[in-house]
Amino acid sequence: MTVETPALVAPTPLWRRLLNHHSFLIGATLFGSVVLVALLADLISPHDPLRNNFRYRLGAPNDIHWIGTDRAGRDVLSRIFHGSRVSLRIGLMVVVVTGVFGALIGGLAGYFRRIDNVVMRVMDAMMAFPGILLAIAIAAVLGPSEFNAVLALSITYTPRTARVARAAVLVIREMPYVEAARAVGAGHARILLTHILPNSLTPLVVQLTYVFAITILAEAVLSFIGVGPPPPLATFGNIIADGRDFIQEAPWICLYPGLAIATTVLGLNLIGDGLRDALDPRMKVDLR
Amino acid sequence: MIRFLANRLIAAVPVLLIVSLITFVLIYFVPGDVSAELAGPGAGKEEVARIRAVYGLDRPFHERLLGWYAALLQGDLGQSVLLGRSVTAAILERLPITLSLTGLALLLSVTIGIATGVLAAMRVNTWVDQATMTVALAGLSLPDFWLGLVMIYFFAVTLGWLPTGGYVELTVDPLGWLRSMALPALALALTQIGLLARMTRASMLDVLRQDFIRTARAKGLPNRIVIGKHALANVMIPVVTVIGLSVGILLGGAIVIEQVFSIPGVGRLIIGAILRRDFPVIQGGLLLTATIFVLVNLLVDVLYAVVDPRVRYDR
Repeated sequence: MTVETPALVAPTPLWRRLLNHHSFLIGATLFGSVVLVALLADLISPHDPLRNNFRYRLGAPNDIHWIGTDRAGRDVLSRIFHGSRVSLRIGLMVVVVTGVFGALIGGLAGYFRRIDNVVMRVMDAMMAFPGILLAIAIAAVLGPSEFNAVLALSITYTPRTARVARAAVLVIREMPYVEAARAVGAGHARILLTHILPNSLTPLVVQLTYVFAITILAEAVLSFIGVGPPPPLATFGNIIADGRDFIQEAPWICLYPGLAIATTVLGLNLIGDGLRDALDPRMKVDLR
Repeated sequence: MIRFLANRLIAAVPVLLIVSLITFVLIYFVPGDVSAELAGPGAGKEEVARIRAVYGLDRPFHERLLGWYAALLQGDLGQSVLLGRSVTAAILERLPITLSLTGLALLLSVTIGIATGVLAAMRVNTWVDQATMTVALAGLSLPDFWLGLVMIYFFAVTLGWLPTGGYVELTVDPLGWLRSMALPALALALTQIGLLARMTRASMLDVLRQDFIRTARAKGLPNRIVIGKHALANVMIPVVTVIGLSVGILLGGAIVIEQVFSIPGVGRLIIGAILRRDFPVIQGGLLLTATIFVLVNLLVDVLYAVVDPRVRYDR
């Protein structure tokens, strides 16, 4: 541990601060329930999300189909349950890829100042494209699939994460403990892995929470446009796209998956706010 | 000021160069090109090869790259394969529609967002603050295209107040234009209203703690002057940066919202091209939106220097 100026009061442990943070608790509850639904989708879905029932097309909500059926008579609730699984899976994979590459690119650019200018100009250029448009274009070029959606979204959101990582590293590399490590002969790899990485995790974790939220929204757009994971697979965006032409006679097909997206994203945003406040109240984060 | 401006302009050049390179490379590495689609399902290999040659798709990387830049410098983005006309013309024709949608959404986000943020900061920790910030966060968490659909259901289908979609030329019928733009602009703006309201509130709370605000109050200035003049000028500094970012997000969002409301703008053009693999149009659309975004941020940098004269000496 580093030597810090002695605090007058012992700092409250992190989990304590999080448990006292109201919006974090609300966010964790919202997001936690979505995760639970996704994990238990097979058990709690009242119907098979892919089974057609043409005798009950565009069926209004009733005792059997609680929030109605879509144009193939598929149960919307079961599709949302299974869709949450796909959407969360994509979000999680994007967070992991973005986290690894963002930390790597941003960390190296911040640490080795010689490559900084070139690397960050490339990142700037990638951020000059409206994020969602870049993701749509890459996904379209690669072809619609779950893997390609992950790839497109990761390429789109890595530069933003790299910028956050770089900003953190720029501060940490000037810290006395890094100088001390260098003085006792630690190599670049050791300094980066044991000193800089652990200390720059805080802003990264907060940023990745927001990336998760944006990814859920962006994945829905990709599916809605038709360049995401192809139907009949249920994702939040696919269900909405399915119901789009029936907004007049069967509004429930579009309405509920949107609420599911909102719950997930709101939960993640609240968690992000809570983490940010608890980890460092003065920290500024690049939203989107 | 002129030197500052020149510096910012020069810094934008490499970014634009890389932007154009990324745009080119993205399309270059596409597996399969448009020639197969043009030739039709029954065409043989020779027919596809002939079409590839016509569009120059069989030339090596460096030749195509040089050709791309040579044409670009003349403002030529190539020929749309499916529309059979120049990409530049097709985009420019639809650009005013997309820009007016983005502009209207920006106007809504900036006015409502900043007003809400200031209000929340002045009533900090009251129910007004909590209510507005909850709504702001909810707005930030809603998918804009879905919001568009819900609005169509409510305001167009159920209440019948506004059209479900389509576009009316501003010059033909200004009221009709506003009616056709109201829902898409609002759906688009809501996310940014939330973002700007949160940002303005945070910045305002920061500023209200400063010594010069206490001094202004101690001098006996009325609250209206303290907030409206002393505080707001300083609040705007970080907020202007966020507005610059908002433009990029709104531009991207407009492309999706145009699908929902059947507005014949650049977004419909690009998405149509994406679904039918008309790559020159995708290339042109990407390049153009990115360029607009870079230019807007250049403008923001300049505005920033106007709002806060200290910035000019920093770099």
